[in-house]
Amino acid sequence: MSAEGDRPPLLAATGLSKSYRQRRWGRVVFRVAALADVDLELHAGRTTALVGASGSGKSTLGRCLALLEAPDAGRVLLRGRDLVGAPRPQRRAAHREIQLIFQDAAGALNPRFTAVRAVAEPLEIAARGGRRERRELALETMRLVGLPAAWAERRPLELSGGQRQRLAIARALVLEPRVLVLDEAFSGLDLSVQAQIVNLLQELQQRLRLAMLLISHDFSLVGYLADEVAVLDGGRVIERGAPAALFARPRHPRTAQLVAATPLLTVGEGAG
Amino acid sequence: MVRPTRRWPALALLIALHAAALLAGFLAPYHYAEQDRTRVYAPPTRLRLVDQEGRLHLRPFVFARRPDPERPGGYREDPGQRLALRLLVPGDPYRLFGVIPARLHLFGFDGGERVYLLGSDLYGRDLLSRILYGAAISLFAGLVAAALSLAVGTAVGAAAGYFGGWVDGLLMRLVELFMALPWLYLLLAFRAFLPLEMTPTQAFFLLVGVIGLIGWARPARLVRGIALSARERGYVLAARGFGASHLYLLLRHVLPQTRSVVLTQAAILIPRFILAEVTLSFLGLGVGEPVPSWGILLAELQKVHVLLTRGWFFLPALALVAVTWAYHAAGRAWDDDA
Amino acid sequence: MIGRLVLRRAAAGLLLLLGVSVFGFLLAELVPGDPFDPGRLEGRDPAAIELLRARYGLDRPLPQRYLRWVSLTVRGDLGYSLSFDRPVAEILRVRARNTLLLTGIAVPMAWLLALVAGIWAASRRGRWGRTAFAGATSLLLAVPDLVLALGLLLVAVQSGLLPTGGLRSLDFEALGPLEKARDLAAHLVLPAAALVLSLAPRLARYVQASVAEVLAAPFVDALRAAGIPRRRLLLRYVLPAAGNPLASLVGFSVASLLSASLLVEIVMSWPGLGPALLDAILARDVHLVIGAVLVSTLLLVAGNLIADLLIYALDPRIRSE
Repeated sequence: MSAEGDRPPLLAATGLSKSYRQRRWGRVVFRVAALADVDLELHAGRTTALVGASGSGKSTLGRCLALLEAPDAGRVLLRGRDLVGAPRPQRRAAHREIQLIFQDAAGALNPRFTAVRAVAEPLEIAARGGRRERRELALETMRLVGLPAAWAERRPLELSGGQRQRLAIARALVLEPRVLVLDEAFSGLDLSVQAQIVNLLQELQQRLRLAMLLISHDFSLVGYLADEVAVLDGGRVIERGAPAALFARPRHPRTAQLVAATPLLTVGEGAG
Repeated sequence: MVRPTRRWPALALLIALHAAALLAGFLAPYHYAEQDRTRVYAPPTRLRLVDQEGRLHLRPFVFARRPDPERPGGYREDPGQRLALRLLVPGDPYRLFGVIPARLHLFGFDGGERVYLLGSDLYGRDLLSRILYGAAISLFAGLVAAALSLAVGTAVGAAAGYFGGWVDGLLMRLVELFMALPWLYLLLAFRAFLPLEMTPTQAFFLLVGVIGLIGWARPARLVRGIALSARERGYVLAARGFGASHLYLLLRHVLPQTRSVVLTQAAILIPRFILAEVTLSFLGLGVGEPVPSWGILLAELQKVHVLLTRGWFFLPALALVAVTWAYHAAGRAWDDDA
Repeated sequence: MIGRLVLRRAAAGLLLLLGVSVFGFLLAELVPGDPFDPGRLEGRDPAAIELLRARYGLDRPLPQRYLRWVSLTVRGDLGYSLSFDRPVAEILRVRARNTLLLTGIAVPMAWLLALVAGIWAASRRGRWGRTAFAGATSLLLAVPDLVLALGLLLVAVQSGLLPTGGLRSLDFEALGPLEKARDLAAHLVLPAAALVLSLAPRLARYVQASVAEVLAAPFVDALRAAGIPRRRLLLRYVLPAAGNPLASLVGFSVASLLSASLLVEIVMSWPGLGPALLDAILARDVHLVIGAVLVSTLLLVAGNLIADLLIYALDPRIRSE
């Protein structure tokens, strides 16, 4: 358990299970379990990392937590209240508190929308404020992530990869969420850009007391950012603990395999 | 680049044709149903600038025509009587855009005699006027039917692609059924179960409805493909993550992407549907006389003596070819650009 | 062993026929006018009306009536045509044969023309040939079948070289076998030419596109470098490689072929399915309408199946699938 285990978690998953089926003529011909009885807790101001080989169910877990997919079984609790079976208005309100940031920022932004419109979109969906207010708030949020107002009318294709990811982060933050799920949000970015975004997120986390779930295959990044790590394999959590300890002395053989397969340059450095 | 210049001729022709159809009442010298039984099957009159003495006139004119006593049913020109062309003259009353009552016509001729620049038909009606009024009917039928088809197709396709599952399966089987069948048979089969005798307005809208409802399948399938891929796009997922409703996602993120497909389909469907209306009217299953749909005008060619000796009845066919070509060319230019 | 693909397509064809039959049956049911409508037969004995309704199966629920209708249809009983005063099946058998004769001759000719023109245009290096090809095809594509048929009719009538309209001359029965064949061929020229000109431009465009694509492939450059003569290269290597996408077009074009044929038959008075359908509609002859639509769907399904078998024969990749 984490150091803040005595405090109730902000967002928690208990017993989450999910499997994908392929049907033909109504018969299930193919079935794969993506998640099997997974428990996970996220705390305000803290970062939990999710690691595992591809196909281990990381992204599915992230999507379930962000309410983008309904689990077959189990509960997603926001401040202790279940969201899976909750009525739609309640789920919709919860949507705004849990935001997902995707690996592919280019794909996550509609190429037809200008930057400021993209950031203002969540406000529009939430029907918050007038057009001008929404624009003001969007510009302010863009400034928060280091995008100057001069970029407001550009479209995603005119931005660099790092700028796009900043834009996606601004859009996720504009509704002032409590939880941020980062699904491979750094892969595909240059190292220097990665560093900038990582710093930005750390700064934002401290300022806004965000709970973050970092889904990544990059162990060095996990070691640097995360307070706690959960290792997912075949849809199950096979091991969890503080990153430094876990990477140094993996208990589960699959974890050992994963660690062995990844060059660890910065293990332990920022973990404290 | 070459492209804009390649796109313009087709677009300009399209705009000109539709403007002509819209302004039919003003451009046509006479009303489409106005008869003159003394000028049956009059061939086109030549517009002249030079008179018999070889003098040049700045104002175009025609020679008056008399029935030819030597050839029954024939006409000969009377060089002694020049009828000058006048611009913006009052004439038969009409309604501009079908609404505003007006009498002013773009041009007319001196003297009380009717002049047939493109010839006349069995009842002495002016073919030029009938082609222009007919353009309004045939082009409008194509546009409305295509709008109907695209609306139905886009709605069905977007719903099928976006929601997926059994909805998708069912709708796509229906699409395949409609796409596999020969469209003319389908059209006739539908038409077969509608009453034959109708007022022209009833006939027009029933026709447009039937034509529009058989053409939705292809746009539906194309839009479905786009909706299907859009559903999995990151920004759609992200918007869902902000709590967006299905309607919002469809309207803001999915439908805007179908724009170019819908436009390309429009360029394909409109000429096809114009042709469908023309064909049905040609076969006697569309709007009837005296409404001058191009199909009604072409049906005259089914009389052997018209086919052989009244060549000017091919002029509506020429107009039809021009419209079809312009739409095809515009569609190709759009495709190349997209 | 017939490939799974062909079986699947046959099943799809069957499904199509089923869909059309349901559609046709429902339309027939929707036509107003129950012959034993009690309202129309006022004053008659209600019990007698009921008896009549029962005798013709009109008292049964809709699905049962459909099944009855299907079983009759499958046995070749398509009902009775009031306007022709003959059984529908008898009329349509002759009409379908005539349509098959016309399309069976026009389709290979259209393909031949399309292949020649398409390959010629694709193998042209200079600009001129391609521009001429693109211009000619786009012009022909812009000429509606209706206009095409009327124009050909005009040419034929004015030249007086070809008989116009109908299937055979009036003195057909008096002719010898050879003259009969010649008479039939002469009558075929005009409608077949209209169909060929209607189909060929689109086919030629596809041929040109797929041949040009193959010509741009690296293996062609290699063959060229090996010094294989041009004609041999085109016919032995390029065409087979371009053949697969083209073969799938055979089936695709069956539906548009039937539509074009319908119009051409009507304009040229070729006694095929088209005029029969039109006459049936104008005479409100419901059974004949449904019969004609069903038979044309049958032709469509058969045509598609033939196309599938053709692809199957041409493309070894499908067989191994």
